[in-house]
Formats: sequence, C-alpha cells, structure tokens
Amino acid sequence: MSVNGLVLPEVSARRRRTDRIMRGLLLAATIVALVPLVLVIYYLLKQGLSAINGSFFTQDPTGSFFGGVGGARSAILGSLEIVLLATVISVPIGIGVALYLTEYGQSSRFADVIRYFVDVMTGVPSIVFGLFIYITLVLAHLGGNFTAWKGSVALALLMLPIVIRSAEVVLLLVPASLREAALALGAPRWRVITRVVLPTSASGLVTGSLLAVARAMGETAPLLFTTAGAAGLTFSLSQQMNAMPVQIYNDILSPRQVVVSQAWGLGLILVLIVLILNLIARAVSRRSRLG
Amino acid sequence: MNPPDTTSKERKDMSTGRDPSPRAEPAADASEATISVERRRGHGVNVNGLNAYYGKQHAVKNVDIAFPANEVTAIIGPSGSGKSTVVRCVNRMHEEIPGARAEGRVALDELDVYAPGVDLTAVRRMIGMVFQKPNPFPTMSIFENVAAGLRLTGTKSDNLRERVHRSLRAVGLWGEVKNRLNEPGIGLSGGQQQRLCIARAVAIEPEVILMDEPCSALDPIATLRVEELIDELKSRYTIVIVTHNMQQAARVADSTVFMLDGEVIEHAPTNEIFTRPKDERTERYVTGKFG
Amino acid sequence: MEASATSAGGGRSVLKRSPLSRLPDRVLPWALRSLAVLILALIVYFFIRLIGESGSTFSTFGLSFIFGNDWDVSRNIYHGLALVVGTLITSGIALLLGVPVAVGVALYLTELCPRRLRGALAMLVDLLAAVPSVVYGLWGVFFLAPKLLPAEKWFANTFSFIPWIGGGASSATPTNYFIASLVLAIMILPIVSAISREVIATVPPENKEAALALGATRWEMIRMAVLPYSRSGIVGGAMLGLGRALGETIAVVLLIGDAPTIGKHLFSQGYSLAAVIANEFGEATGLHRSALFAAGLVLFVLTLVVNIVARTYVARGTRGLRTAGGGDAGGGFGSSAVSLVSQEGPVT
Repeated sequence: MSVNGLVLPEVSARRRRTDRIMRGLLLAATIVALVPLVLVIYYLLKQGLSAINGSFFTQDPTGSFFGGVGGARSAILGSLEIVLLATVISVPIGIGVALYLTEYGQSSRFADVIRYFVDVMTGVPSIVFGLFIYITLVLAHLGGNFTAWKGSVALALLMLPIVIRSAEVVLLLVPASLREAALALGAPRWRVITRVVLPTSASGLVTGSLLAVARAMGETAPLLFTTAGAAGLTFSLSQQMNAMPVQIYNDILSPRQVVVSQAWGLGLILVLIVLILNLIARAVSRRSRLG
Repeated sequence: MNPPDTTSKERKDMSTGRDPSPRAEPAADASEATISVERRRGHGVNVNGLNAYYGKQHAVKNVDIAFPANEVTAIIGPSGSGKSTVVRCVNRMHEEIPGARAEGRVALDELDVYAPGVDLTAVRRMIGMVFQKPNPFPTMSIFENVAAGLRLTGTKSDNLRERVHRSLRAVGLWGEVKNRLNEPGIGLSGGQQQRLCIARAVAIEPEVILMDEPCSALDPIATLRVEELIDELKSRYTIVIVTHNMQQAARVADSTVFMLDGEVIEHAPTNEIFTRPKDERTERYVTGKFG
Repeated sequence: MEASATSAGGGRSVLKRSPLSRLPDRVLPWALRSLAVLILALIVYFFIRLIGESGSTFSTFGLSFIFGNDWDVSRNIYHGLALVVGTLITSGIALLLGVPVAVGVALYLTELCPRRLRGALAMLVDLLAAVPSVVYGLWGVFFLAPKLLPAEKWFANTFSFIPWIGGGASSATPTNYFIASLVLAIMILPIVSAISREVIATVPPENKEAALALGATRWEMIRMAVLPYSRSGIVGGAMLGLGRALGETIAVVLLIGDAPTIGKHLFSQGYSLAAVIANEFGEATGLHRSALFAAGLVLFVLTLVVNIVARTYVARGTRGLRTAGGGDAGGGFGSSAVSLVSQEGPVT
C-alpha cells in the first residue's frame, strides 16, 4: 500500500501464517484439554445412571461372585465418615500451623523451614502416606489391624499441606492495617487472631478446607492399606470400613459386568460429590471477594 | 524507501555543545560526539474527528490535531484529559485494551491507519512508541532489546548488528553500553533504560515516534538527557510527546496541544501557548490555576 | 473490643493486664509452634521407619533392587528396574503429551480468549483436577483403552521403523505404557495449566505493549514478551506435574498392565513403583512386603528430589528476575510464584 510515496511495510506472508497457525494451535490445545472432561462425564452419565436404582442407596455391596450385587450404601456412608474424621483432624491443625506461620513465625528461619517442608509434603504421593500409616499404626496393631480411623489419619496427612498453604495465603490477605488497628486498641495478640484475623479470613479458610476435603474424597491409595474396605455397613471407626474409591477400585477388577456397572454408578456419585464440594468452595470464595 | 533527503543544514550539535564532564554518563565516547544526525524528510500525522471509548466512557471527543512532520508536538493537560488515549489511537495501541474502541480518521500523510485492510502490525512499525515506564524486555540483553523489532522482519545478522549499533549511537547510549551489550537491559539505570527503549523504537526506523510521558519515571538529569535526545531525533522523525510537565513541553516542543476532558482546547506554537494563550482555560492551566 | 479485658483488671493500672488475659499470648505461639514441629517430626519419623522396613530388601539385594531387572514373586527375587523404568517412561511421556497442551491452554486463556469466556473455560479445565484418579482409571479401562487399541495397532504398524514405537503391533494390548501415560497426561494437565496461567498472568503488561508497539503479531508478542518471562515458572509447573505423575497410583495400576518386565515398545505392558505397591501389597509378606516398602521408599525419594528441584528452579528463576527487574513488577512475580507453587488441585 502506498500513498504519496509513503510505503506501508508489508507484513510477510510467513509471519501472518505463523501467527494464524499458532493461534489455531493454542485454541486447539484448549479444545483438546476439554475433550477428556466431556468424555469422562458423558460416560459416567451414560453408564452410571442406569446402575443407580432404589437399592443402590439402601443395600450394601455383597461382594459375592453369584447372585445380587447389592448397592453402594456402605461405600458412600463410609467415605463420608472417614473423610469427616480426616477433616476434623487436619483442618484445625492446618489452620493452626498457618496461623503460626503468618502471626508468629512470619519470616523467621524456622517458619521458612516449615513452609519448605509443607511444600515438599504436597508432592509426596498419596500411596506413600498410606505406607507411612501402615508401618506406624497397622503394623503396631494399634487398636486392631485395619481400621477406619487409620484411613482418616492417612487422608488427614494428605490434606494437611493443602489446608496449611491455602490458609496461609488467605491469612496473609488480611490487611496489616486491620491487625495494627486492633493491636493499637490494646488488644492482646490472641484476641486479634480470634476476633479480627480469623473472622476476616473465614470464607477463604472454608474454601481451602473444602478443596482439601474434595481431594481426600477421591483418594484410593492411602485407604488400601489402612481401612482395607469391607463390604458391610459399619459406623464404628475402629473397624474396617468401606469407601467409595476403594469400592470402585475393587469393582473394576471384578469379572462380573453388573459389578462393573455398579462402579460406574458409584463413580458418578463420587464425581458429583467432589464437583459439588468444588462449586461450594468457589461460591464461598467469590462471596468473600464481593463482601 | 527512505531517501536520505539530506539538507546540509548542520544541526546544532547538542553533545559537543554540552559540558563533557561525566556527570550522568561517565566515559562519553569520542565517536558519539562526532556523529551527525542526518536530516530526513518525515511524515506528519493528521487526526480528524477522533472519538475513543473505554467501554461506555467517552475518553476522547471529536478531536482534530495535525502533527507536522519533523516537529515535536507536545500534548499537555490534566490527568484524565485523554492525552494518552489520543497518542495510543495514533498507532492503534488503544484497541489492545479490553473494551476499548476508537472511531475517526488518523492519517499518516494521506494513509488512513484505520482504513479497512490496513495491517495494524504495519501501522505500529511505522509509528513507534515509547512508554511512561521504561519497559525493556527483562529477559533480553541490551543488544537483543534493540534488535527485538528488527528480528521480527528477519533482518540478517551483519545488517542487524550495524543497525543496533547505529540506534544505540543515535540515542547517545553507545559509549555507556558498548562494552556490555550482552548484559540484561534491566541492569541499566532508569534513564538509560528509557533511552534503550527509544533506541528499540528507532531501530526499526519508524516515521513517527509517540512518547507517552517518557520522563515521568525519571530523575531530573535523566529527564534532561532524554529531552536533548528528543531535540536531536526530530530531524529524522515526527515526534509526539504527552507530558504533564509544562516546563518540559516548553523546552522540547515546537507546538503544543492543550487538552481538557477529552477535547482539544487549543493547539498553537509552544511559545504562544505559554505566553499568550487564546483560551481562558488554557491560560488557567498553564499558569497553574488548576490541574 | 478490649473493654471487657481492661475492666476485668479492676482497679489496677490500665498498663498492666491481668495475667489471665495475657496467658494465651504466651501459650498460643508456643502451642502452634510445637504443632508445626510435631508434623515435621512425624514425617521424619515416618521416613526413618520406611527405611527401616525396607532394610531387609536392600541388605538382600543391594543396589540391584534398583538396577537389576528381575521381579519374581514366586522365586522371592525383587530386582525392580522394570518398575523404575515403567515409572519414568509413563511420567516422561505424560509430560511430553501434557505440558504442551497445558501451556497452550494457559496461553490461550490469558492472551487470546475473549474475556467473557475466560472464567468459564478456566473453570472447566480446573475441573479436570476434580475427577478422582480411580474414576480416570475406570474410564481408561472400559472406554479409552479398548477404543484406542485399533489406533495404537495402526500406529505401531505404520511407524514400525521407529525404535521403541514400532514392531510388536500384534502384541499390543489394551493396557500398556502409552495408555497409562495418556491418562497421566490428562491428570497433570490442570495443575501444569493452572500454574502456567498464574505465571503468565504476572507478565507485566508494559512488556506486552512494548512488543505490540514494535509491530509484533499476537504470537510474536507471546514469543517475545510472555514466554521468556514465564519460562522458569512454567518449567517449575511442569516439574510439579512430573512429581504428580511419578506418584500416581490407581489410574496407573489399572492401565499399565502390571507386568514386571521392561516393555519392548510403547504399546507393551509394564509396571510402575506405585502400581506394584497397590497391586501386590494385599498378599505380600516377609521379604516381598519389605520389597514393596523399598519400592515406596524409592518412589518417595524420587518425588522428593523432583519436587525440590522444581521448587528451587522456580525460586531461582523468579529471584533472578526480581533482583534484576528492581521495581514492583519483579517483586510481585516472585511472591505470587512462590504462593502458587503450593496451590495444588483446582485453584480457587
């Protein structure tokens, strides 16, 4: 293009083509990334809905090679119970450690060691946590061999670093001016924590904890060596207990088609629970940002 | 493409006229003093009926300005008067902001940069820009920063080095950096960084250089150095400088535009605008009564 | 707020607080600190116990537990090279498949995507992390593996001239290295993508504008201003993804084929450290069980090293930029990178 001797430099066809191709590839990557999500959800719905019937929630898996397969009641209730205990253990401890890091340790050397350690802990494979608990609690025959509470402890270990790091991030968001204002009024540090810091960051703490719960809900490996799923229903934490991921894992290995289809049904329920937890976590964090 | 239409009018050489004592720039290179910036016939910019918006906000209202070739035009005005937006519309950087759009005609000589079919990367090649905060690429060396624009068009290595060196000389940075061309550009001082950014813009030989408050992040000595540079560069380029500093406009600009609330209030030769402004609002602004 | 505390002090000077209300301030930091110490000590204790439990394996087989290639439960011989190799192969391929896609997603979402779609798309990608690994295993075994088998056979036939990939097309089984790697790639994608996205979001807009003002196209702007700036963070994210892939158990045990040999090509069955533990632990006793603990120890150390390297890499990269960059942009980058590295799972 040229007007009055002024020449607009041509953008070479190669540059234009590269730009178009790379934009296309980036879009393609995004689509490719979503394909598995769509497929997983589609197959869960397709295979899972048919498995969910009345007895799915009222009966326990029989685990037998013949006859009826029962339902998934013990797995669902077991999971909820195990994860509830894990949450009760990990959330207070996790928030406590995070409080130490933000309110007392701050940038001391020891706090940095803890931070580093927690970071490294996030990378430990969940199966290794299972082994830890097996060695220390199961081999020691502490209150029986395989028990539900040991599974909870394994899951709690797994949740701890998630709770600590998310809580620390949230606690750091509490404006220093707010803390200083309270301290300037003469409030002791612990009152500042309980009256100012924790209430201000409550929704963020809930979000982080819920994400940790969601993560724990789907974990199979740490439970394999700690609660060792039993088909029957129990509410006693000192007995073997069934759990959704463990039940799904066992169902997959079964040669019976009906059992496999039950795994799809249970998988659907599990994904639904995890999704709902995630959505609640998001909703809570969004509300806090608005308020 | 760029006929070196040299008028033999020797420029008053700023670098020799200046006290050579090493205050801001130690070790001023001897070769630097001898370079003469060749005069080149540039191209002016005409802005007609320009309207710019950020979402619903009408930031620039029906603006007409002519930026004459080989002159420095300053745009002054209080914050939010739309002066930055006007220059960002000239090289179509305005539309990079989400929700922003512009209407009207911006012509480089007779070439409408908003005409359909005009490639906006070509427009930006012809109309270079220097930003408020020095923004060298942090991962690139001094050399690579200047070469960045040239590499886009595939300038070959011999020619590339030539042009990088020439650009660094043109901004008076050669003596200071010639021994450390491979060190990171962000290792330089703020003033040097800004001149590096000007070198980067000059390297691709645009017709126009837009400067959006180029000295607002610099100290007075670095500011003075950049102002001297602007004066040298206008023999080759058409320069538009946005500034909130009226002394700066008075020092560097041939003509000055006063903007208020998105409108051009007055455009006149600089000494007229500061000594006998026609509009009462201009007078109040340049005498410091508001803004 | 403190009215109650001071009035409780009665007639005493307001500068003196009652010892009772001061008590928590002395106890609390101490208690919280010991909580942190306790966790630290607990993990160290676990680690020592794990070494202890795998002791008999290492005293029996020595280093050939890692470098010997013969895992035979019936003869009570546990040389686990096949497990280590299987772990590394599947994780490596998962990175190769997952990281480019993850970075592509991150770039698309931050630099190209219309703003209205960005939030929804980002959430969908994050949801990939919400699907439990056992569900990926379920889906892999009953859908992905059988569906892909013909394609794998065709691929192995067509490219039979490439070592490791070709040949043995007839022996291709539904469960193999490739299918395990593919599912691993899907599983690490959201983490790598989330970290990349956060790192890319910290690229200063001035740098991007500088590139555009030089007449760069969008892609050239990404290559010039975005990728160099965020490279170390992306590498760190990829390494954290690697750590995840190495330790992933359930999906792998279901898909890798659980054959304690080193597969001859991409589509043969193999084993991984995590898979062997999950699969054989139930009936293992004595030396066998110790060998599984040893596998756990090797896995633990492996993931530890990868994670430490990942974090130091990120820290070094960001620190370099921060000191050189001076101003606020560099500092913000460093601190956010440190915090986001800890973010696992779906990002809030």
